[in-house]
Amino acid sequence: MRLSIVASLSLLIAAGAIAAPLSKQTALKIMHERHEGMEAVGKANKVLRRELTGDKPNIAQVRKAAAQMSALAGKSSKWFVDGTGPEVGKTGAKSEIWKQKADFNARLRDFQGAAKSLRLAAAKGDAGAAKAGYARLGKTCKACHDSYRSDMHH
Amino acid sequence: MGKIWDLPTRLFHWLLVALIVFSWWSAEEEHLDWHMWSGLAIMSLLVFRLLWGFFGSSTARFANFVRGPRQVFAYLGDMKGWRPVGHSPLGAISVIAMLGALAIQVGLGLFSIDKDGLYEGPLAYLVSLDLSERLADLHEDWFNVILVLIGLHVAAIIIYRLFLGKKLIGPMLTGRGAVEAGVDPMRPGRWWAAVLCLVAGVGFTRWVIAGAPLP
Repeated sequence: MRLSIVASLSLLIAAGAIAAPLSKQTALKIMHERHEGMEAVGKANKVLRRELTGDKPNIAQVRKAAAQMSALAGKSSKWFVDGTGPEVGKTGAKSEIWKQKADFNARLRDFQGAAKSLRLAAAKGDAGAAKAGYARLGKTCKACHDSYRSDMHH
Repeated sequence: MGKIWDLPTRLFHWLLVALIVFSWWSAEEEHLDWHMWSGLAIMSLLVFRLLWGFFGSSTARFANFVRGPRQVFAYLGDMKGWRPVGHSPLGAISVIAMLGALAIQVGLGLFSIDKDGLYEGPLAYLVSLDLSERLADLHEDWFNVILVLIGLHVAAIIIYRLFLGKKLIGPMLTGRGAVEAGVDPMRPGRWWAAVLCLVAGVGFTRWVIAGAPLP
């Protein structure tokens, strides 16, 4: 009896810990990381665009930017924690992200998958595959931004 | 009542108004593909207007309304005594400033890249990434110059209506307005000249979209 009380109490505490809202400070820190991270994604994408929509891609540059992009894409899973939406602070992330979490996560996975295949194509030095990979990557950016990013002037 | 503005000039004016509003909205809403098409349409119109300023009707021709500082000051000294139809010497400055500012804005856009690296003007590939980014910032800032010019333009229309009793909006819609006795109304241009000017504007824009290849 006593054991079950202890067990249920600890369960309650554990559940509370999981559901506990982020402290404002932690939330803002994640949002800041997300912002910086997305800016870095933009920078890497600009380099990729320059090289992979031109006639003669500089494959060393592509390789470097694709590796950055893939690493950032990996990190992006941690950028959209619950409680880091527009209700907390200034952000380009729309609240729809958390209302349609399954769809959002699927799109994030598309992005990560596209970034990874672009990294592999670039690593092989396959310019044709890298061009195709870049086109696919760009589509995943747009697909997500269309539904889940609001304009953020800064 | 007599003719003041020809149809091509009026169409140019109101299409430009619509496209400026659309360009602003599409940039704010981040529909950058639409924004780029809108900017390119504005470029076609600007080239058209430049040519129509040489081959168009009497009131559309630059030679008939662009005046030097002396005549601008003479006009400012006696605004009520101004009789001719078309742009006044002061209005001419506004026209040139507006066309120039819009040409600069379109030019900046052609070389810009957006912050996500997803959209690029058709000529951006000709300059470094760093320069493209700076020109994109300038493109955003320059819109404020255009807003100021639009503000002055609208304020001038109100001032002319209130203090000089001149109705400027009606003639820009219908092409016709008050023409005093003894004053020449507009002499129209040739319809096929307007078509040729438009074809040249669209042709020039297509060449820019193709990345402005040189032979």
